[in-house]
Parts: sequence; structure tokens; C-alpha cells
Amino acid sequence: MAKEYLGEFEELILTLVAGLQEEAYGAAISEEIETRLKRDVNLSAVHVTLYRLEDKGLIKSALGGGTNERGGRRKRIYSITSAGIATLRAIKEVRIDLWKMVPQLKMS
Amino acid sequence: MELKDHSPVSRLAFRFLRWICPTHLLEEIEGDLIQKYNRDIQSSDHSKQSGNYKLRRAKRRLLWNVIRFCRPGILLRNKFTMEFTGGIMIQHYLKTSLRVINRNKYYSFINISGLAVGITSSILMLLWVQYEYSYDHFATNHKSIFQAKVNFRYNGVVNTTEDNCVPAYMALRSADNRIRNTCLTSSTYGHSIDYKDKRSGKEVLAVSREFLEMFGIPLIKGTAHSLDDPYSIMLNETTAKELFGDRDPINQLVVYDHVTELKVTGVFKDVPDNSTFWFHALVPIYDYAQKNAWLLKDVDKWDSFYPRIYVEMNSGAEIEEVNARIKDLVKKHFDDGSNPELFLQAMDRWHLHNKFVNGKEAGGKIEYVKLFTWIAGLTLFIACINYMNLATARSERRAKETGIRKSIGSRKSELIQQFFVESFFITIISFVAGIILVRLCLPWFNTLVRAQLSIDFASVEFWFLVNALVIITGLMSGFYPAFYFSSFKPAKVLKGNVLEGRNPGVRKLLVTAQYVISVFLIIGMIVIHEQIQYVKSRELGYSQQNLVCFAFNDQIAKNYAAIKNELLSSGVVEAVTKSNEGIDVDYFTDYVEWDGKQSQEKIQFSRISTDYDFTKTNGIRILEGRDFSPEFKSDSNAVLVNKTAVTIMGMKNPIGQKIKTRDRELRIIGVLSDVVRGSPFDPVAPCYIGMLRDGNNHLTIRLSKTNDLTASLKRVDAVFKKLDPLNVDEPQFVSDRFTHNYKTIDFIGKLADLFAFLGIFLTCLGILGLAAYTAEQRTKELAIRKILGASVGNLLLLLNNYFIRIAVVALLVAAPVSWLALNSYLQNYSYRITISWWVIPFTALGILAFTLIIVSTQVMKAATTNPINSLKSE
Repeated sequence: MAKEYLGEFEELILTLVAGLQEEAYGAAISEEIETRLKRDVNLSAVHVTLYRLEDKGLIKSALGGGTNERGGRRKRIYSITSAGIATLRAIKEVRIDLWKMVPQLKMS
Repeated sequence: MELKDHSPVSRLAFRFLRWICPTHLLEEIEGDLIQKYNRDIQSSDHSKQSGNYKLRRAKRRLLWNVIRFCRPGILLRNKFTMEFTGGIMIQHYLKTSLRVINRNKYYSFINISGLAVGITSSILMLLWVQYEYSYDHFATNHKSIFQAKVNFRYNGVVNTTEDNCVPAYMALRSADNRIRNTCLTSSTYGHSIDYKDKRSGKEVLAVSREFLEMFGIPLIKGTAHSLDDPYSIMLNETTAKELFGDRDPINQLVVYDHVTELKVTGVFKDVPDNSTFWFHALVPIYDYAQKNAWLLKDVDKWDSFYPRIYVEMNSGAEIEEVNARIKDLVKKHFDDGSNPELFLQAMDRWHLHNKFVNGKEAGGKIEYVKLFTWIAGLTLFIACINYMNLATARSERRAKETGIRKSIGSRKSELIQQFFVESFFITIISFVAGIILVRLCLPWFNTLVRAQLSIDFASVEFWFLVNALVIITGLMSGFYPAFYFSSFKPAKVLKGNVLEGRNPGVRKLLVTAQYVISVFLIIGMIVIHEQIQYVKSRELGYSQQNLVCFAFNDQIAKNYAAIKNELLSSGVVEAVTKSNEGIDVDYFTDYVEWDGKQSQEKIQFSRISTDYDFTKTNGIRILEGRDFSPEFKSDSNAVLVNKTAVTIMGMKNPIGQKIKTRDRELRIIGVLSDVVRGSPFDPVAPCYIGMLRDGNNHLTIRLSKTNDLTASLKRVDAVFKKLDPLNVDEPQFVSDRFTHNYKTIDFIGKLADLFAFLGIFLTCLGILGLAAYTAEQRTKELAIRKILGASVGNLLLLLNNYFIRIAVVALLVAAPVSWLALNSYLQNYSYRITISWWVIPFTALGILAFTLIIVSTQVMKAATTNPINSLKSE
């Protein structure tokens, strides 16, 4: 696992960036969180987290096209780097390992 | 499509965003915001809502989202432009400050500990001051409540009392339309409240039905009308818990004073310690009236003063105008020259402004509050001067730094900034240390001031206070160094031309100021200490040792003779007597007339009603004549007077003379030495003592000398239990009660000691730092002097000279000023010392001795080192 630990929210955003692919930009991610997780999230929080993840080298970004809905402003589309994928995978494996320690309830 | 909305608010929001947001991130953030805004407008989730509502909601959200972008994660992503170099420089300054602290650990320690001590004492004092000011805030309506007090003219002086007369209660209500309500209460008395087998003795206040609503007493159970039933009682939380545990006390019957059954109709929150009003339970005064017929009888008696009257005013009423209107309300019923004038005093002033002279507020505890606020301020100021002195004393080292900074382009303002950052840095460290110290000292300080002070870390006020103190301290201590250093000329400084104290005058002035303040503190505190000791050791005229006193009930009153015999034969009791009050309190007064009285004015005497053995039990000396004795049948018309009374009456041979009191004519059979009843700061009042059968419901017992007083008390208690099993009253040692009543004396004495010590400590710290520094700085000079033949003594003299001169100047300034100030302070007490002649020489010698010792120890180090060692290094 990478030396940098990820917070819960960072992990969430990283996963979404990986999942949304071409549609991974600030507003879309925040909308996704709101609809899928029923969790209120502030746009600025999403942006700040994206920048932080970029600083850590887990995602990279490029400017995409603008739409009318956005007043002509371009989007910054994020995509996950291989370091990001590795981190996500490491997290998942550790979780599964830990989950195995939990005595499982047998459904009779 | 641009943002559809062009309202000024949205435009402003975007402009704000542009301002805070780094340019390379702006476009996408704006895009996201606009997209969100548009989707909010089109969203279909609240289809019921109108379009207008959605628009407003979208706008609101947009604004909020923009504001939320104002966060470090965004702000700090800005490429640093000129405005932001400040931020970097501050980091740099902090680093330099840390290095300065590290490099001179010794001075830094002196500096920080001095400031920390100053800060600790000022925080403690401010906590206490805050506590004193929070008095009587328990009642939610405290701002609009006033007490009606009365000014009486006796013996040519105006006395102020809170006792009022019953008719004024109704009369006040209609006297002025700004008076919303009035309320009548008794004073608080001890009563017993029993429930089944649980007994308790509690302080009870009898109140008229307006009381609850008027004061806004916080209720837990019951309503503002809970006392409307004459046989009801309300308990505080603790008493309710004590009697009923977890059961619901409402509608339970308790037995009041062993006789009356009262129904519990409510529970109120405990009255906190910082309250002038203090009671465990409330009963309606109507019931009180029935049991104490005099209250009913007195409904139209204007000349019978005992209940308290409180007034609720409409908000914004001009109290001066109301006072002018009610002034004569009682007076018009009097024609004897006592001239009782009514006036109102605000609840917020009851505690701190409780002293009246000539019918006007004349301070009270507020004087102490002010005094110690000043002293705390001075202590902090001394600590700041310490900082300034030590900071500028190191000027030689810092001068080069300043020179280099200037030559590579520092502006003067930046250097000022640097030194302020440094002083604030040290102040903050000292504050952290100070707050830790406060936490550690609080339990001890609480026992000292007898209050429950605590730091409320969650309160805004506290942090406001701390911030204010940090800013004041930081500015005060940083101001002079900042401007001093920043004014160095780089060329001169770098050539090594340091001008040790380019401005030594200012530093001398600072050290002198510090000395002046400490001389002032020391002299002041010695005098206050002396005054307190003087009052504490005042000849009280009776002996407090083993003296026990308490109020008893009717049951014991009936059996007084039996109880007295039983007690005397128990072997642990020396003497027993009963009287209308304990010897240490002075509640009952009377007008006295005598043959040959010169003036027309009414003269007020203290009135003690008692029985046989009063002087014997209390240990009062008989100066002339004899005590009451069962051998003289005529003693029911005999009276003892104190020495002051004889002086006032101007009698040459008092024995056998007659005096006239309000109810009889009495013949003087003896003169007693003066007894201090009431405050030991006050003069002794004239007093007469007779076998008057008033309501002699206080028992005074002198226990035999023994090592085990608790055992004696148990024996005494057993006697009471036998004759009155219901009795719960705790006997009280007169000395304990006295200490409790005059706790301020003790407290002020101890605070005075504390601050004298702090003042000396801080000044010593200052001298220490400065002396050490001077010695270090002049090491080479001292070495050369030594080589040229100076003795260690010569060197000591040389360096001591500087400090001693300053100390002498300070003494010359401070001594006369403090003498005058203290003399006028002492005028507040009628029983006071004259300042002893030795106080000033003693302080002077002390200060000089301290200076000599501290400076010498520091110089010795430098003076005794081998000159080779100090000179070879270059």
C-alpha cells in the first residue's frame, strides 16, 4: 500500500474518478455522490479533494470541452493514474483481508 | 448560454470567486457552478414548487457554493503574488523568533516565565472580577429589579437600611407609573422542613405572591402561581432531592417548624453561590403573616421597619426621576426628624455597591474589585517591561541582524512587523504556560477567594478576554523593541559601531518605572497587610474561644431552665445564657433618652435582651458596677451599658443613673468594656443590655477548655436531643461564623500578600535578566579593568552603581506618592492604622538589598573569571 493514506472522502472521489471515466469532472462527481450515496456534498469539497489527489499523483487531469449549460466554460476531466489504481486495489485488498477476520453470521 | 441570472448578488458572487480563486482553476469551477445552478432550476424533484421558488433556491445555493470555495484548499493554491509574500515572511519571522528563543535559553526562560506569571495573575484576577460582576444574575429579570431602601437620620448621620415598612409596599405601586410591580419579603431565616422521618434545617424566605414572576426564578416544577395557596411551599432542587429522593415532591405535605403542614407546590433551581439573595425554600408571606401576627397588624404601620420591598420597573425608566418621586413617600408619616427617605437600588448593584455613606452609594466590594484589577494590570505591566528591557538589552546582537536585513532590502515596516511577530510569539507561549498555571492554581485560588471559579473554555467571553490580553500584552511589550531596532542605521551598525542603547534613556526610564511600580506594590501591600492584621487582632471585647451559639425553637425556649441545668451538669459546659442575638451580630437597635441629654436628636443604641450569665458566658469584662444577679429582685429594671454609651451620654458617674428606652425606664448597674459586634472595621456602637424578655431565642454556650471539642459538642447535642428530639439546628462556633461573615478581611489580606510577592518576584526577575546581560556584555571591559588593577570589589561597585542609582530614584518618586495614596485609602476605614514609620525605610532597604544581591551574584561570575579567558576569544 502506498505511503500516503487516503481519507474516506478521498477514497470515494478516487473511486468515482475511476468509475466515471470520461465524465469525471467536479459537478458530475458531486451529483453522482448526491444521487447514489444520498449524501450532501459541497462542490468546493469535491474540487479541493480532486486537487489534493492530483497533487498526490493518484489522478491526472486535462481540460475538456465546454457546453452551453456551463456557460461555455470548459470542464476539467480527471482520469485515474496507475498509481491511483494501485492504491485503490491495495485498499480493497486490505479491506477484504480485514473483513475475513470478522466472524461471519451464518444464515441458517 | 451565459448564466441566465444577472442579479447583482450573483455577479458579486462571481467577482468574489475570481478574487479568491487561482486563475488556472477558475474556468472549470465557474463552469461547474453554472452547471449546478442551471440544473437546480430545471430539477424536477420538487415539481410542486413554483418556478419562482426554484429560482430563488438555485440562487441561494449558488451563493452558498461560492462562499464555500473560500477555503484553504483553494486559497493556498494561489500562485504567491506580492500580497502573499507577507504570509511567507511571517513564517520566516516565526522561525527567527524560535531561533532567538533557542539561542538565549536563559533570557527566554526569564522572559517567558515573567510574562506567564503576570498573565496568570491577571487571568485569575479577571476570573474573580467576572465572578463578582456576575452576582445576582440568577434571577432572569435582574436588570429591571430594584430594592427599595431607606435612609434614616440618626445621631446626625444618615444610615441606610434595607428594612422597609409594610404600607410602603402598596404605596410604591401607585406612586409612579414606571413601577410595574412591587413585592414584599421577609429576610431569610433558618426553619425546619420535615418529611416523614427526614428532617432538615433550611434557609427560608417568605415572599408575597408577585415574587416568582417578578424575579423570574427558574422553575423546574410548578408555575409562577405556585405560592398562591397560603399553605404551600416551594423547595430548591437539592432540598427536594434530599427529602423526596427521586419521587415527585409535588402535592406532598411537609412539616414546617414542627407544627404547620405545608404542601409542596413547586421546585426551583438552586440559587447559586454568587447571589445576594440566598434561600433553600420559599413560603408565601401570607402564611408567615398568620403565624407572625405582627405582619398583619403592621399593614398600616409606617413606623415599623422589617420586611424587604422589591420593585420591578418598566424597561428604560429613568431611575433618578422615579427616586425623586418616591423619596417622600414614607417621610410624610414621620415628624421626629429621622426623616426616612425611600430610594431604589438596582439589583445589579446590590453586591458590589453595598456600602452607603450619608445615604449615597459609597462603594463596597467594588473598591476591592477595582483595586485588584489595577494591581493585576500593574503586574502585567511589570512583566511587559521585563520583556522590553531584555529585548533591547540584547540590542548588540540583534543590531547586526537588523543591519543585514536592511541592507538586503528590508523595509522599516517589515522590521517592525518582525519584532511584533516575535513579541506576539513569546506572548502566546507565555499565555499557554499562563493558562496551564491558572488551571493548576485555581483550586488553591478558589479556597482563597471562597468562590467556585473555573475557566469556561467553551465561552466566547473567555476567548475574547484571552485575545484581548494577548493583543494588549503583545503590543505593549513589542512596541518599544520594534521601533527601537527598526531605526538602526545599517551602515553604522555593520561597521560595529553599536551604540549600546542608542537610546539608553528610555531603558533607564523603563527600569525606573518597573522599580517605581514594585516599590508602590510593596509599600501598598505592607500597609494593607498591616491594616488587615490590625483589624484581625482587634480586641473584640469578648472571647471567641470555645464559644458556641445558635438559634433555638419554642420547644427549647419552654425548657430553658432545664436545659441550662442539664448542660451545666454535663461537665463540658462552663456557662450558658440566652439572648436576642449572638454576641457577634448587631441587629437590634433602639432610641435611648437620658437625663441631661443635650441634643434634640434621637440617639440610637444597640439593644441586647438577655438573661443571667451573659457577661460570664461571653467573657465580657465589667469595668464598673456589677452584673445581673438573682439576689437582686429589682434587676428586671436594671441595665448594663458599654463604655461607648457612657462616653456618648457624657455621664461622670453612670452607676445608678436612669435611661429611657422605647418600652421602659432602666437603671444602670454596671459598665461593660466595648464589644465589637458587626464589622471589625467599624467603630463600636453604644449598647445597652437588659433582662428584657424580648425574643431571647439564641443560646450561647461556653464549652470548657478541652482538646476534644467534637466530643463536647456531642454531649451538648445529646442534651438537646433528649429535651427536643425534633431539633435539627446545628450549633455554630462563634469564631467560625465570625470568619465566615468577614471573610473578605482574610481574603484581601492574602491577596495583598500574594501580589506583593508577585511584584517583588517580577522585579527581581527583571533585575536578574538585566544584570546578567550587562555583566556578560561588559566581560571584556571587566577583564581589562582587572588587568589594570581593579579589585573584584571595584568591579562590583561599578556595576551595582547603575542599578542602585535607578533604585534610589524610583524610591524617591514612589515613596511619597504611595504614602499619600495609602493614607487616603485608609480613610475608608474608621478603625484603621496610621502607617508605621518603618514601612518606607524597610521597603527601601529591601529593594536595595535585593538589587545588590542579584547584581552582585551575576557580576561575580564575570569579575572572578580569569581575564585571559575572557580576552583571548575574538
